[in-house]
Amino acid sequence: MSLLLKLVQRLLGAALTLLLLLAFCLALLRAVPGGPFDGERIAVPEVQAALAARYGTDQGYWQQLSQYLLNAVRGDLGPSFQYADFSVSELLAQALPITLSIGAIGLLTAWLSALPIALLAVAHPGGWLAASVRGLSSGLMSTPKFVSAPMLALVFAVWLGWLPSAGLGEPLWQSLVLPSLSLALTQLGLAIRVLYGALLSVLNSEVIRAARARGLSAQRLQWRHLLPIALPTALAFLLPSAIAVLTGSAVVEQVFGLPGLGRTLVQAALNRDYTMLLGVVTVSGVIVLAVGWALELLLGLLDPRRRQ
Amino acid sequence: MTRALWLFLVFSSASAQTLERGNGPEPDSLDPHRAQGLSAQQITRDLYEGLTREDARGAIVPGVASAWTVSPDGLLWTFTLRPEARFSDGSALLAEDFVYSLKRALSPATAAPYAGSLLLIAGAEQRLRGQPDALGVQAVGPHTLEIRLHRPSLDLSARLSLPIAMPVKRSCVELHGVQCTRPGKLVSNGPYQLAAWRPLAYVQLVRNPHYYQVEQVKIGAVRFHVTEDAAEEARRFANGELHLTETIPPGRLTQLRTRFGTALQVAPAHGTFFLGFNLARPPFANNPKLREALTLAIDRARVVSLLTGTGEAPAFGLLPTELGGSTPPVWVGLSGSEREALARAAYEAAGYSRAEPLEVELRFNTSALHRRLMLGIAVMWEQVLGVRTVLRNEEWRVFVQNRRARVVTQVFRGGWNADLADPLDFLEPFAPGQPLNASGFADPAFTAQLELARAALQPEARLQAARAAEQRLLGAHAIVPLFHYTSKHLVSPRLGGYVANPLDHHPSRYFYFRDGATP
Repeated sequence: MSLLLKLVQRLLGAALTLLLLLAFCLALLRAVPGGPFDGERIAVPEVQAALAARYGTDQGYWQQLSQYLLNAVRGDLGPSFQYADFSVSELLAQALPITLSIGAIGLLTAWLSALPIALLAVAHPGGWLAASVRGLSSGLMSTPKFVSAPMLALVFAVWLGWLPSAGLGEPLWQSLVLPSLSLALTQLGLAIRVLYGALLSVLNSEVIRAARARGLSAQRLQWRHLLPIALPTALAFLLPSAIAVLTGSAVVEQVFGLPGLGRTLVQAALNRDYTMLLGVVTVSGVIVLAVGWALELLLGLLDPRRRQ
Repeated sequence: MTRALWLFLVFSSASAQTLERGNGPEPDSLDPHRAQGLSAQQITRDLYEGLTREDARGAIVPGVASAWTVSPDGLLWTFTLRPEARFSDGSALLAEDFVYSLKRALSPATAAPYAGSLLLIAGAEQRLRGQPDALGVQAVGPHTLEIRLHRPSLDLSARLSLPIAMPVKRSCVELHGVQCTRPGKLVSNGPYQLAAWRPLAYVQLVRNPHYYQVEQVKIGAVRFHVTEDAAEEARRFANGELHLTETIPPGRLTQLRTRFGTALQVAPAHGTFFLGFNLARPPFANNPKLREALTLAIDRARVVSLLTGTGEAPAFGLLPTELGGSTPPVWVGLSGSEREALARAAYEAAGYSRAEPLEVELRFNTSALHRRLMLGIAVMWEQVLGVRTVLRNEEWRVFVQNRRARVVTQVFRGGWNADLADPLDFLEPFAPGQPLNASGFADPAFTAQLELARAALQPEARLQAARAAEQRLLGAHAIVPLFHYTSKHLVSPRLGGYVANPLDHHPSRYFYFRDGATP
């Protein structure tokens, strides 16, 4: 099948996936009890009607969905129900860079740190070093973010005073360090475990034994033979969890008071902010699809057997 | 204002001492007519000023209007505006601006959540329902405004201090539409103007150089931080990132007192927590003895000492002491065992006993404090009467929807924080047809007393009628007042000007830095 045809096929599939996702989310939102304008104070019926007309909540399901999709294709994700002064696009434009920044920094930190640790452990399999690394990985993986995040804030912000404890301040980079570190710690544990397992599974393969038999140094063996073979397998396991990080960690953003996608999603759900929820779902869906495609391309580059 | 000048103000003021305030959730709007949440209203009180305003302690003082007169029949109020009053772009603030603003606030298209606060103005209700009747507001000169009421009222001056009655600039609204609240576009008339707004992060204000009393505004810049989590806010305060918090984490009063000493400020607030009974369905419909029994079985002293623990005062009525207080019920002076004996007698008169106990559902919205409270109350009911209570926790919007519908509720959590320092503000929600009347309370004598209170032109007569109305509500045991709220803040020792305000409004104009604010 030609590349162009395959690309068109993938794009149509992605569009259909997003459409189904949005349709499902809207149906769920309309089914959830408690409307977006349910509060202690209730306006007179005429005002309620004006609100319903403004936000389209007086429309039927299919009318609301089709109107939303038509507007979304034009780049208009609608007004926020909760924050009357902003459109959803504006709010997401603020939130997305924050989430992607701390997610990307956290992932890079975790993976680059995990690599030498896993290589060191696999160089001495079965020994105390490998056992320690496995223990470290388990400990990091089992520490939830709602524990590690406040602990980091306590140590580095409150006790040492090196960094701000929460919120966005000046300079901006200082506000992103602790959240990124919190995300990195959990990902580090997973990355060590996956990399170590992938390296170990390849360690006694024929190609490695042959390379060892040719008298290659341990360093050359690891970097030129062991790692390239094990990396595709490791990435295939790591990237799905990376998607979760890149689409927003509500816990970390909440603890550090960052206006990211995860926190926006939680607030939108609590406030029944239909358009905001659908907007976050749309953006998250695009990220998931894009990262999935990127993963396939990357694996194809690393492992020629996957290119077909 | 040009963008360059605006940026200069942002960075020049930000380089001066900036008041960093925790402000709770993200403000829903900086349009004073659309702002509903407390976080939004805290900011709009810095951005705008109405005909009247509150002083630091919440008393009503002249605002844009330097003086006003009231006709003998109490229906016509005439306000004299300060000729030096300006918007933040330097243009004059005239009576016609208030006419436009009040009409906008009462337009159905605006969908103002607090429009009901202005319904005492003649023609307001008709306008809100989309009928093009004339609103009883007119400018009789550039600096003279007349407001006509459809009934006399003592509290118009207080209502005109609310954000719903604050002026907006017509040309700004018509030019920018919904974007008129953006930095660089928003034109306001208060002591501060908008400098920056980063959604879900912070709102930054700088001093308005055109404010008529700018020399009294000591702090040049204010940053309102979004602080959705009280523990996070306290941590930021401890780290020196905030000068003032919006609240404190629940259940940590002793710990915070030990750590922060006098920086922890706790004061009475105009608010009351109560339980409500659904009078429309069993088991509480037509069963006042049962309601009385459950009311008597609760030891309020234990509630505030063991369950809330942040300085609340036990409540035996709705009205806080600072608003005149309620007439305490006769059983208040009884010992605990005497009160419990009365409770058991009422319980048996209602047809229940330990052998045939009441099974009741107690509904509340999600909150660690509420869960602790409801659990404690359920234990008291079980210990004194043998009542079996099912606790039902609901998310906020589901909870208010169910509570208002009166279809599934039996006993539910209720509470009221006053918008105005006025006894009637606590009683109006229980008037027939009010959406906040979740109990479905309806009593002609209550309504008659409420009407008397509304029409009273003397504060003492208003209070007496309000108390009489409250006695009808409490005598029917439609609600069970438990405690009066407190305001709780952490205030930096550097920050001066903080005073207790029962409405918990703290405009930034009254603050200053003790170590020398940059004028």
